[in-house]
Amino acid sequence: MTAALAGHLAGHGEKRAASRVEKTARRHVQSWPVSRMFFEDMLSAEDIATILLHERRALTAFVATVTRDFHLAEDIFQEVCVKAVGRAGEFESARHVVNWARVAGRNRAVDVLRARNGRYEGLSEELLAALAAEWPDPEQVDAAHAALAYCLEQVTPHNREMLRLRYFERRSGADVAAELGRNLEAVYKALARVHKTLGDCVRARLQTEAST
Amino acid sequence: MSDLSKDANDTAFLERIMRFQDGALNAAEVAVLEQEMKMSPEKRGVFAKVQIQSLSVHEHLRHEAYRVVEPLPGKHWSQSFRWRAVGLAAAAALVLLAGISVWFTARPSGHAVAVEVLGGDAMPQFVVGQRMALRRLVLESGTVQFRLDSGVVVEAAGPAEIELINAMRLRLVAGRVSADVGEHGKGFTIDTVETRVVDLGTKFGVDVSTPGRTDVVVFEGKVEVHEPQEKNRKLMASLTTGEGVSVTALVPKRIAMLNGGARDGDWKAQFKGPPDVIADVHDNVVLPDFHRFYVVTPRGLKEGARAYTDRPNPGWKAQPGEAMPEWLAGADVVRTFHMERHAEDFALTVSLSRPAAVFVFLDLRKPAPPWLANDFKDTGARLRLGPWIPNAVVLESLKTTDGEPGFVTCAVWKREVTAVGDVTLGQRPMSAPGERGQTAMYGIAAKALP
Repeated sequence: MTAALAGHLAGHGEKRAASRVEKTARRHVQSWPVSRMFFEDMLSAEDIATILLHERRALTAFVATVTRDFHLAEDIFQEVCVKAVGRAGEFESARHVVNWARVAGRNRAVDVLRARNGRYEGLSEELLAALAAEWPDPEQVDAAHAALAYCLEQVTPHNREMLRLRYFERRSGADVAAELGRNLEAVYKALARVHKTLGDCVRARLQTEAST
Repeated sequence: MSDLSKDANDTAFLERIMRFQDGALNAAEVAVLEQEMKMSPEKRGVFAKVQIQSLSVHEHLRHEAYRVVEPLPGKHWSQSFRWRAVGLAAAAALVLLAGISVWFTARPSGHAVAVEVLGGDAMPQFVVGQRMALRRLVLESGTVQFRLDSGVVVEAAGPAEIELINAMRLRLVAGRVSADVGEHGKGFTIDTVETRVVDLGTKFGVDVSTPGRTDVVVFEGKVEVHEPQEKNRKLMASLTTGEGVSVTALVPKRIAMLNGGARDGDWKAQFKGPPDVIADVHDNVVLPDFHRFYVVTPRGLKEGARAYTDRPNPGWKAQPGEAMPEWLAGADVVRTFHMERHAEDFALTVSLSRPAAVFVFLDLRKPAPPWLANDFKDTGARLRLGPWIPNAVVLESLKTTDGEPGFVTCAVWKREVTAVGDVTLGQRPMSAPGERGQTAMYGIAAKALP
């Protein structure tokens, strides 16, 4: 909580709640190091939550680069949110929050995988940092997500079933192959083709929307 | 963003990404993939796009899978699948509060919960009398009322999304529910992102329509509002009849006003759409743990309209053998509550959205206070207020048959307000020290001027 939130509450006539927030903020400040004392300029819990909500899809996809499991990535994203909100008063900008969340998400994902598998065999910290620096903006991600709804409707039933098994039911490539009566190589090729087709469709859709 | 075709001429690269996602690359192959991306910003771009697109596919397919009610013919889902029953909307809402952690510890069990449909207007999706097994309920519009095997009756108002955990517990992901817990449902629990609401024998409502906020109101009985997390969960508020809180970021605030209908299940902590005549009601009470609310019912003044939020029985009635005056019937009506501790400086403000006649129904047993006598005019019309429970304090100074419910007569005072704005009312006449009985809290109504 921050004094900004207290002011917001007071502005709505909630003096008692505002007072509580203010007291809590001051009590925290008394025990903080000097470097953290400029809490009025820092983001509130609500600010942080709003930022993370805005970045949810982009951040989750980034964490999935480590986990290779979207469900686990969502769990980790949520854990990161809890931690971030608990650090209200320590972030000074949206960029600060997002950068911290990416690092925290990556580290947490690596820890989970090490605990689960005994080791982490994935992309290096160096490459993940490079990917993070170039990761698409949430606006791009959300626009593509919206366009994808249309594009998924254009996918053949067979390919849709393959996507469903792989990305909804979390079935491995081998399971998908067995379910569909195909060999594993064919499944990987087919998934790659569907991704390319969907990407083409999304791009065309976004261009059409931009020109109308 | 998703220009995969331009960047992905190397189909083999896309296939490697598919294998990477599947965990099918060995260490040497991961190293090759890594080297490719280190050397090529374009390939890093393709990789990011495929990752994001894959997540989007995952989310779209999940969203579709949970769009409809699941009648559940006993199908068994895989463990991992069950764990994914939290929808996209829930995931988004999770982020908004520090209470997010509840979702990790209280996911759907996956077992269907038996319900009996009692009514509602979300037909033909539901049939009255139908028994069905539900794990999850997604209601895009309308209402549905159902009974759980615990006897608890739940009314959901769409758009709403509910996960049924068992007969004594549900999780409200989106929308609004009201519950009538009955005799055997004590302990019935509703989880939201922000709260855990535990019933102690009551009728109550929970609304999570506004992201980041949970509204809890009690129409009768008592509930406890706890923090949502499993560990070190603290009690945030204890609410009794006529009390409500709005919880944001673990801070409960009093809900001062509800927009309500005639039924308890028809309520909202804020207006949706333009108000009729009364836009807002609030008072100046600031007391610890004070959570009383007013209820405004547009066009709700009719025979028997409930008078108070903290007493279920008394209502406004015409004099015996008479009808409610035409110029009064159909007015917006405010359910008030008895404010005993806060006396002379009490101020109740009614905000009008249009020029209106404002009515105050005052207990006839005491002279009108100056704030009323100065600005309002006694119309000469009289309403009855009751029935009060036998031997109610309000009835002490009245001659009523012992043990019989009684009525109080109220004068209808009127003030015409020709401009949009606030009308401030004061405290009702209070009994002098040592004087028997109390006066009834006044009622308020407003009707647009022609």
